[in-house]
Amino acid sequence: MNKDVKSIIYLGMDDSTADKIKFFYYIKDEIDNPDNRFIFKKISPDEEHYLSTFWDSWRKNIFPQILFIDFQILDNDKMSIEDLTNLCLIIKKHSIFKSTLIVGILENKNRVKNLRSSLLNGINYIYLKTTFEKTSLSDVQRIAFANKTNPNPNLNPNLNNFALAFGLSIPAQINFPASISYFNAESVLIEHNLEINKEINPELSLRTRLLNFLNDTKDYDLRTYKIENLYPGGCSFDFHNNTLLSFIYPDVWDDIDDNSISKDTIETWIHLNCDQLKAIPPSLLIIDTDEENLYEIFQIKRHPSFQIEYRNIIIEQELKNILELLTPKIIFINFNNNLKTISTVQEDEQSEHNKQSAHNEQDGQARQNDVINLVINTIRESQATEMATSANSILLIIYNNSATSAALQKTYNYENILTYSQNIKVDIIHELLNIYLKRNILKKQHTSDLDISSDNKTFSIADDRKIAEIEIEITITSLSEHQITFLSEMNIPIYSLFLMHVPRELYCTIIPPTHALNYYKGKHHYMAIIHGVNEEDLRCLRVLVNNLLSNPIKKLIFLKNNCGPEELKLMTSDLDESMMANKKSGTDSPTDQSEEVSDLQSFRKKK
Amino acid sequence: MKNKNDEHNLSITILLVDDEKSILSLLSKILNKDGYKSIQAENGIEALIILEKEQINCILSDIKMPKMDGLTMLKKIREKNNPVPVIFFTSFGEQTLMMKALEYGAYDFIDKPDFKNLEAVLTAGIKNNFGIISSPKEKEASSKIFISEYRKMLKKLN
Repeated sequence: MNKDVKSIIYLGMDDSTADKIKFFYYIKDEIDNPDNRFIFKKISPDEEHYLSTFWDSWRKNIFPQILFIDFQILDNDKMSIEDLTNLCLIIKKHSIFKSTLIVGILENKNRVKNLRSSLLNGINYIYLKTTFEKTSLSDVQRIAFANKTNPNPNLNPNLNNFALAFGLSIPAQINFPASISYFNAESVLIEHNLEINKEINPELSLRTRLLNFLNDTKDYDLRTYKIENLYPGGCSFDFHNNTLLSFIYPDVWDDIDDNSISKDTIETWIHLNCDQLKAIPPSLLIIDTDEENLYEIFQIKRHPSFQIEYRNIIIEQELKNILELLTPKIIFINFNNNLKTISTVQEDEQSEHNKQSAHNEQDGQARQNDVINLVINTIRESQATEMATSANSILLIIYNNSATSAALQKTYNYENILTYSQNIKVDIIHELLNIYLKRNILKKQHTSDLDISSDNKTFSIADDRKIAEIEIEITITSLSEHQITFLSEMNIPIYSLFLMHVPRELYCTIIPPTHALNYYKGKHHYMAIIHGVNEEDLRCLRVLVNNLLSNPIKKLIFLKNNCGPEELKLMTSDLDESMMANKKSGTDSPTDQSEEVSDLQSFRKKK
Repeated sequence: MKNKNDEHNLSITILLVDDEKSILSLLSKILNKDGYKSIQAENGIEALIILEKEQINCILSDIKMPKMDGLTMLKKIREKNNPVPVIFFTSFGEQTLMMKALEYGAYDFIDKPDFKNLEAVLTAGIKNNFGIISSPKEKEASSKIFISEYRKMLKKLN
């Protein structure tokens, strides 16, 4: 495919929205760069075999730069949340496709609240149909084609076009989504995107619904956890790190406050909710580089009783995480993967001596490139760790290989290998899994007579309680209704999505800054685009920004609907006069250097 | 004394490939005793010529040979889309060669120099049609054999 051709897929049923997207990019294409072409493909769940069509699009080398998913497909049983999650995760776990920007299209803000589990799908941007699509689609283009876009100021609603309050120093909190992998009465394992340094930050603030005794409320419990162990590298979702946290129980001599919690309380909570919790399902891993198998793998992932991980390429660190944290029972490997990684020797062109040398030279390289070797060596290494108690019983099934099982067992010196001469198919795989389940009836049932404190529990993917939020402190340095810049001690990956609950419920995606942001006192300075906001959110933000242009504030509070300047006085109350004096003189602002910033964005205009 | 298996094995022609005549002779005697028909070749080039002319059901071959080694021979056989099963003689410490052999499409390995698993490998291979699938019926049969192996493995693991 011509590398200049950009492709976009819309998965949904709303022709009007699909047309808006299509025409936006076609128009931009003609004016920005007439040599570039866009391929736009709409796939509707109303079409027969639409999932097969969807994966065909990927297989036929239409690697889309942007995938728009209209969440309307979750209505009327067109698609389940589990299917949607599996679809996104196959993309996000693929070494090539993971760079595809996934945009979630939702009808309104209420829908966003009701579909928080979508945050685990690798969604990078939330596009509300109620907002101005030009802004959203321009943002999407900016993120998707960050290194390639040739922005046309005439078409792009430039970040400069919004009133911007800068030179700020407002403390705030932002929240990064995390997945709760499992928990028990002592610990919680989460998957997330932040790089945590245990020596510098031995504790973490986590917002969860773990201890919500009234399941019909959406209230979150925010508390501090102790960091026990770090596992750099991904695992199940589109996150980069895993962290094991433990509950902090007060000691006998500690003061008890409202936020204190005892182990009994947690055990009681687990007991009361046991019918809604799941035991950790057995897991398996599929390693397959063949894009032709994507649709089969998608169907295989639908098995209700297994957690099925898929990778097209596996790196050692992530494999270690999977072995230690998920303890897969079976690992399926496409033997054709090896054929793509091991280089072949040109025997015809070499002398006898060179042939032997060539065979020997290939020794280390061949072993290194061999996926099966990598997996077995990693299994053996993990045998030395405490957590991999079941490593010995991991079964490897090598498919697309006609050799005998004994041949591979001998070659790799690993007893638990079976070969299967045919390609992976959902029927045979599900049959294998069902046989496994029948032989190994899950020991952990949802009954109350189990040792609750030692059993690990989890939530289903569709359960909003699976999502936690890591809260970190930041200092806002500039704000408009469209962007925010802030300082943080944390190292945050670019394009990470985070939430703000104050001043409004906002979603933000960190982007490469459009201008130089100063590095202040060892902190990281970030820029993020605000999205997932409705008109009322935007109105409140405008009121806030307009107020900030002339009145500094000490802290943010939540702005209710129909708020006005009066409400903002609450933010400025108790404001230290010295702060106001310093603000005017510019000596106390962490962004004194923002004079440089003002060269690029120094205008203040009211909309 | 002939038995039923011997009668069946007579229809199986095995091509023996090794640069050591003593090994060829030894294997030939073993195979003939078990009722197999055998043809000998001293290197890969000879083997390829024989393969063009004779109906060969299975190849037992050494890897390291002059003129053309076993891996190159196998590669050339597969380049012509010939699915004939190739079983190599291997000894301890040849993991890389075995991996490459599998990559090129080897079927199995026999321990050298005692060849103690020769009969078992051939018997199992014949039973499974050496993993060659050429019809839907064979495909189904192959899957059933695999499921059976899987069940046994699960039992062992548990």
